[in-house]
Amino acid sequence: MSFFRYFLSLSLFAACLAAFAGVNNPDISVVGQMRVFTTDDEADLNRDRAQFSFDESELIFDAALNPFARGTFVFAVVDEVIEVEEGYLTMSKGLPDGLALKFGKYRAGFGKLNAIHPHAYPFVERLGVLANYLPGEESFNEIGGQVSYRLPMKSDIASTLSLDVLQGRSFHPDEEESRPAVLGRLSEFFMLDGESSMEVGVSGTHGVNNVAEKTTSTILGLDAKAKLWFTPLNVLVLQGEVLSLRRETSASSDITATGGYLFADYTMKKRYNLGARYEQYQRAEEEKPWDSSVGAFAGLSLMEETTLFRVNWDHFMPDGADAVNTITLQLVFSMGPHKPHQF
Amino acid sequence: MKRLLGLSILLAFSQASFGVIHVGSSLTDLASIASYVGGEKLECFAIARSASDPHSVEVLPTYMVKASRADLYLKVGLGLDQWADQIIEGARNSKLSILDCSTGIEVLEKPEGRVDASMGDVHPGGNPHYWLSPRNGNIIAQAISEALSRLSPDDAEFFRTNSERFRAEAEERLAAWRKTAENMPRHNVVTYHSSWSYFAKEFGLNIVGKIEPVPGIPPTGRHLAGLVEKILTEQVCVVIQEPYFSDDGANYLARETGVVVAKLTPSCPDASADSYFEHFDVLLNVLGTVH
Repeated sequence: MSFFRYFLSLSLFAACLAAFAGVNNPDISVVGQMRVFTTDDEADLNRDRAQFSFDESELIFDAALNPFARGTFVFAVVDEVIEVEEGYLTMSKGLPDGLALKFGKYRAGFGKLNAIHPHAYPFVERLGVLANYLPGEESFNEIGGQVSYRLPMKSDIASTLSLDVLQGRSFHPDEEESRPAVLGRLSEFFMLDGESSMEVGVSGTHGVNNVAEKTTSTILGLDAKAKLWFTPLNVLVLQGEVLSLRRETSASSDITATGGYLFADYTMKKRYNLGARYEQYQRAEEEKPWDSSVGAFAGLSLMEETTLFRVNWDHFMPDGADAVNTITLQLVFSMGPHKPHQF
Repeated sequence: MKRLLGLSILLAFSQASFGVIHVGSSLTDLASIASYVGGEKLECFAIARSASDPHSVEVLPTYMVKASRADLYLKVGLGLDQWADQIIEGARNSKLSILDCSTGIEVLEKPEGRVDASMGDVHPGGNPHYWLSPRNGNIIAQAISEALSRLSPDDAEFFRTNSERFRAEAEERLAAWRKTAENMPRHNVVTYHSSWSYFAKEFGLNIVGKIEPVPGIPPTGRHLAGLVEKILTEQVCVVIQEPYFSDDGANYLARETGVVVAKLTPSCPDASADSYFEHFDVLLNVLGTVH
């Protein structure tokens, strides 16, 4: 904690020094999120009442370090606690063509949603299937390095292969020792016509879930996203992922589980969007109960892309328990070049 | 013998394509000018489409793939195509040269003092829609000629000759376009966005109001009511509406005042050498028929 405060102070001091040195300051953005929600969850003491929450705020610094590399820092501020959510260096110039490197702490590029900050989702909540299967509390976020290579193609298809070597603590967060993990991804992006596009990808990660027992977890994922433009102002996004988890345990049998999500998000006149989502997944337990949830969401960019209102309904259906409904009104606003939701 | 013939054709083809300079551009307009200047020695592509908003282009991996094969990238600059930086970064192309085509342009509407978001989406460097003046087209052609000459010094004379030819054709066409504009019965216009400032200055049009109260912000009812009065009192002949912005405001003005709404895109249709000049033909023809 004190280290992070020290680090933040140091960064701000460095930025001031840079200004005096005649060097451009980094781009600085702040993203704030506020929620008002009500739920009928029996386990919530404030059920059926309006509850207010000022969620995680983000402080983002981004700048070129030199002609070959960029640096990015994302600080998350929640309840007066500041932590480095991401801090990484990327290099894409001065290397053999098609190659890029990334080092630091970052949201791992597993599938299509994990690498994105939640305020940029069209809905409010993190999906249960990702929360249950991917390692890490808030997201699959690790310290490590990535090598990515864009495969040479004769057509304009963007085919990118990446390999990450990670610290691996997300797989065993409560242990003092750490063992590295690996993550690989292959994605293919191509145009369906002049405007509409499609991306498909496969991801896989493997890490040690118990250092003493030497047991491991492997997660495989398949994802697809289609962005279909009907007019220059109206676009439909269809996106889905299927994940499969295999977790070794000290018991005789491994735990395996499968799940996935699908959502559709239709944006009209850039400023309004409306959509629905569905997810179903087996809990990573021996009995493998199936949980599912369905939801609907709508958004309004107040004037332009700096201020966004969302309304979200979530109907969670846990196996063997009563369904839970949650209705949320969310406000996301940003200062600086990093927008909460890009037009 | 057949093999020898095949090999010769292959070699000839390889040599022909070896000398081609690949040029990427944020806009079709810059790509079209480059095609004119570079002729058959160039292969050009543009990222933003004519009918899409050049302020907010979604950066797609396929654009990065295209830029990965380019030798030169033409930026609009002045903050319009900030998205191009992501394409250039994602191109992973160490040999890519960048040309900011706003260099040397006499920029209009450069704000003075502090600029912040309360003023809307103001470009601190000034209005970036400078390609809509054919005289600025000459400056762009000259800059592109010099950039291409640096990449291929042996062809410098070829590029210089073509940029001079561009200048001569622009001046010849400009006279005819100005005559068309002069013959418009009235010269007061309303535009949606600040896209048409350079065009209006070049062709003697008076922009008496904009549907956006400030750049990037959609109109309020009160603002539209003020425009209704202005259109009636100042005898506005046409509302120029870009196709990629909501036309609700323009349609309201048309209903309330009977003013003509012309849906015109500020960018030419494609990257071909004739496209830039032909786009002015279309713009002036449409405006010339408004009564």
